[in-house]
Amino acid sequence: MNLTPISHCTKNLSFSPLHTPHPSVIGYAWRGFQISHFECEPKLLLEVQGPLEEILPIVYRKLSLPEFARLFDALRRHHLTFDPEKILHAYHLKWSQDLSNIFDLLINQSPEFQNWCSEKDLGLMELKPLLLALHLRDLSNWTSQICKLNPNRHLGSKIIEFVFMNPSHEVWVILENSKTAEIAYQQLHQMRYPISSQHDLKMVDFVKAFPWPAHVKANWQREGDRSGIRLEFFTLNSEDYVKKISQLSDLQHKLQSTWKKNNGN
Amino acid sequence: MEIKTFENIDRIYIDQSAVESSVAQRVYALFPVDKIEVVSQKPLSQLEGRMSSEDFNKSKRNLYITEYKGEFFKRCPGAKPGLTCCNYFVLNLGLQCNMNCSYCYLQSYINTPVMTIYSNLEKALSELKSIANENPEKYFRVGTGETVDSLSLDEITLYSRRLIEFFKDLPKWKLEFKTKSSKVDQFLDVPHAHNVICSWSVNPQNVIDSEEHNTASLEQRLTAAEKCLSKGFTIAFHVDPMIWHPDWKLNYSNLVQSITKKFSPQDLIYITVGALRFQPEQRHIMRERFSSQNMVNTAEMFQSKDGKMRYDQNLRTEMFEYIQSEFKKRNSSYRVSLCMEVPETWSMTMASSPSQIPELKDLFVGGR
Ligand code: SF4
Repeated sequence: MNLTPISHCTKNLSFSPLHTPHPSVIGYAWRGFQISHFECEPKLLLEVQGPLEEILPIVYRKLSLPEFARLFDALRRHHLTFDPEKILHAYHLKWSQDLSNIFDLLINQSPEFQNWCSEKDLGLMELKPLLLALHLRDLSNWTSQICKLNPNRHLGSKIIEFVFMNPSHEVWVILENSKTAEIAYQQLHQMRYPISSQHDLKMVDFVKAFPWPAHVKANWQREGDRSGIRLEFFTLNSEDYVKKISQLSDLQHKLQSTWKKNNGN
Repeated sequence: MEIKTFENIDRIYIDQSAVESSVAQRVYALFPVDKIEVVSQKPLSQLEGRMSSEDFNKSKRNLYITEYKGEFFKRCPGAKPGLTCCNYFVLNLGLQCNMNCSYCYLQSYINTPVMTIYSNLEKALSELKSIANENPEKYFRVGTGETVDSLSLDEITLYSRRLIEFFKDLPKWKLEFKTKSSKVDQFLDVPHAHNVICSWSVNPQNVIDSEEHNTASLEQRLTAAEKCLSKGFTIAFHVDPMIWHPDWKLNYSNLVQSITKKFSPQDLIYITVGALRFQPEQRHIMRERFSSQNMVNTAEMFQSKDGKMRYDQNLRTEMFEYIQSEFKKRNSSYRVSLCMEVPETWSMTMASSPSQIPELKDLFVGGR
């Protein structure tokens, strides 16, 4: 390894990595290309030799999918031969046609969306629904609108899934008019699960309106593929327990008839 | 429309080790030689583990004939903890299917770009023979329709004939073919010991049209079942997977009507019912390969305790009860049971677990 003055590096491979290294840390060059510290113009670079798949993990401990997309794009623009499989493998990722398609797609999205994907560390599975939207001419408008809501990773991946399953006008209106990611998610969820959402809402009202004894807290809840009433009460001793259970038992018939009436899926 | 086996295969790879096998010989007899290639390694292996939905589609058109290196005889996946299922053993004679159902679980499972047929059926049979010798008191049920449809490629392999012959010497065992095809003519003349169950997964025709591409129509399946019945084979139906859609009650009622019009309770050893289910990660490939607005992709599915995506439990119970009542109201002797369901649904739909129901006990403990 040699130290090379930056003036000897005629080209740079800037792919806008998200994390800028501290200026005091040495920058790197490879085959005459500056490969790090793109923002801080160091005077000297450490010229490293060897295949890119060995060099990159030394310089960048972790890269997100949009960073890979930009890196591969930069390598191609400079007509450098490289093996994406080997580079991805060095980061414990497996090349696939789907991943390659996601890279092609990410490169054409706004920097804001790319950075949001990087910050939330979205992987192939979370971004796969975008492949359904390859036909959308204004895909970048959709992705920009999603990152404006700045959802967390979990919510963001759900929103991406719901949106690109059916990128209709109604879905666009939800994205545009929602003040927060949570609101957008709830509305998209209702659109994706119309029957169960409606049923759950109806049951929430039913449980709220039901004349439970004062000691009981009742809530309609969904747990995976099951939904039902969660009952909670506090009991002081066995006599108290018997009394409260019997108050609940008194409601059995009323509960049975009204639950059934409300429960048509 | 049901797929034409011989027209829909683009390329056939025969592994060197399988060239002498009966199935390879049939391939030479049935297909033009320029479609066939003898290989020493698995073809297209560069795609393995990284297949796109497009590659998956293509895999249905590339046939690979090779020996199966592992053990053939495996337990049914329904026997996992948390699931109530029949006492059933699986014999995998291949991997991948030439039909194309939108919900097919092979989409979450297959990562090889070819449709494989194992050439060494005789090894499987000798394993079965050993099991029979080691367990003279036990009677097993063996199904072949787990990782490949039992009959849709049978015109090529003729494995049904060999299996039926083999099971003739094990009269207390049961052999089950499970299919969505109508391809039965190739084995109807084979003498058997009345221990072969030919079963069809059935759905209303509108569900078949929307979700079960390249499979036989309902009418074709029922006609094939009638042919088998007339030759003394035992018949069963799987109303599985039931798929919810706005007119589901009417359409499933018509399905039951079509079945009961042709088959009396005595004609059918059992009818099983199951609802749509799939692995969560499978949803992506299903959307990429089929319309994202079809019945399966728009289904309201939730993750169940066993990790699979299923309809809401109340809805499943309603669907199962409905099918049961549709059969029973026509004749209370039809034997309807659930398969691949979680115990809660069993207890909500049926009075008790399968082994406690006298009419299903034999089926589930494997002692008929
Ligand atoms: S018939 Fe069975 S194996 Fe074939 S595609 Fe349909 S579900 Fe899959």
